[in-house]
Amino acid sequence: MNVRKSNICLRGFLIAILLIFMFSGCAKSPKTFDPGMKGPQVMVQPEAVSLGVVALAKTPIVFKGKGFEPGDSIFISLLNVKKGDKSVNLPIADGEVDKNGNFTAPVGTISKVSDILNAKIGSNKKLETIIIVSQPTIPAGTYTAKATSLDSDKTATCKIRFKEPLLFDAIMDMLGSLSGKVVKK
Amino acid sequence: MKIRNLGLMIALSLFVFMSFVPAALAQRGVTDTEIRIGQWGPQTGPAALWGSVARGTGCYFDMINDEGGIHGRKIKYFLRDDGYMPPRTKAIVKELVEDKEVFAFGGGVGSATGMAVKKYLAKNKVPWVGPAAGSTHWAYPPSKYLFANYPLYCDEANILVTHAVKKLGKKRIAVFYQEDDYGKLGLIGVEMTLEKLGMKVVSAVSHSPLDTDLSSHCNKLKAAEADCVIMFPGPKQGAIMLMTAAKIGFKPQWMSTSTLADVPIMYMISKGLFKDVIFVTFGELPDSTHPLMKKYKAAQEKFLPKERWGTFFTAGITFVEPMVEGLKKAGRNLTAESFVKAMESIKNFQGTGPKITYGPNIRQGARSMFMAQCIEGGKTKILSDWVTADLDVNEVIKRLTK
Repeated sequence: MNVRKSNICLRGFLIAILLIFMFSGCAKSPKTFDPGMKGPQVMVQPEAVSLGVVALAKTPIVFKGKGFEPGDSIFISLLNVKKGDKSVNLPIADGEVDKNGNFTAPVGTISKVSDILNAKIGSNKKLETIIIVSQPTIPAGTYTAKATSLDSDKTATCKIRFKEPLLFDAIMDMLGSLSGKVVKK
Repeated sequence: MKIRNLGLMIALSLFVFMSFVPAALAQRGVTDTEIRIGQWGPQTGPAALWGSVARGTGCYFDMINDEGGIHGRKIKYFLRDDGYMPPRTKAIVKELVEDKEVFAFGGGVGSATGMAVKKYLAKNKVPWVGPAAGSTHWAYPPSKYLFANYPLYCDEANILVTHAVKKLGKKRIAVFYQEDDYGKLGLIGVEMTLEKLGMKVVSAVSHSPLDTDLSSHCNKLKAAEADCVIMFPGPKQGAIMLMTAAKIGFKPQWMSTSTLADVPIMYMISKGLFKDVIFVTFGELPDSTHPLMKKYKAAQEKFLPKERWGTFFTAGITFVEPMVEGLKKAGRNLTAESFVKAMESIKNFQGTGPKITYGPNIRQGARSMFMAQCIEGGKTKILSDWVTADLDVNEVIKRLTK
């Protein structure tokens, strides 16, 4: 009877794990711009990102905007990010505005590693690229991202949430450490 | 009485208006006592090795200020860390132009970072001298306020290949290059030079900036039986290629772009395999006995004694020497327009780089480099005097944009 109970518990646990993995990977419906709003807008996909090293490095984070001046140039800053004792604005993405007033601004790997993870890109003895983690990431939380134009005075904001790493993310980071690609100092 | 009051009001209004007019017409970044100049550069991040360029510029400006400045004005220098990231470069430049009101920019490491702000600077009539990258984008087509003097990567290729074929008798030239505009400009320069010599590239192998396993790349070069490989790689990939080649017994004559010209660093990261690599460079080498280099070395010891006296530190001086020459020529009545005119009047000016000449619609000030070779112990042997490239840049651009 005990053995049977154990088997049921084990199967239940495995099914639960399977369901967690299945639904955590589910795509949400893509966010769209507010059709009722005039003027510049910006949004981000995804709206929430894990602060796990591997998860963040592998997740494409893309800002999209509309309603800006055609031909203008844009940069996106995370506002009021705690870095040491200070609160700073971090430019993390940039793009060019097309003839329709739209732009796409992906967050680059260096920005993710340097600005969000507070880590460094380095090399190991074989000169392979590694991520060196020696301090905590930016605090988890919801941040305002601001799109600023270089030429015009048009700006727009949206929210992006950085989440504490889940168990799965921690496992991936551990695997990264074991492979030597993520080094903690 | 009413007429008298009206007259007084008009006079007062005119007085108030006239006291604001000079301010409104004043040149941004220029006051009675100072000229404000900015530079972005990677002080942190994966490109921090090149961060010394901007610090070299700062040291040079300190020296000039110590000597009394330029026409009674001291240079107030704003160095900002962009981490080699274009979003940061944009934010920095906007802040320095609109908040700090700089007059001009000098240097600025990186093609992508420079290209991110080039249009904005031109639109706001902000002079920019000496972008620290050999891209054709700065000077072709010419842009009124932008003066380039870093040698073009295609010109570097032209000089290296000509030397390889005519002086070293090499017959099978291959290219190893980074898969971006920097590397492609080098490749095109090699191809066009070989075409003029009635030859062809035997193998052209590219790498991405994140590649670290270069065994297949090296095997391709070896399979092509190249007796000379011209490199336009990232510095790390340059070192890895040399180590990979040594492992498989592939021993062509290696030749390299100026981006690998910090010989002690390259010697160290390649574990000594940078020995015998021939490279081109854009300015006097750190161990040069040129009188200006001695003067600058003394300035470094005085103002930045903890800084390493290396190729990229001195490059930060070389790239802005023409700017200082332009500021001197513009005189006390300094505006963006008078500065442009002064820069355009520069003919055969030579500091620690090649001779520089600008003119109306001439914005690439130099197309000359000299060659050197790494020898035992990470030291350098000079192989040539200044050599001028002779490629058709418009044809280069056509091929690049095809």
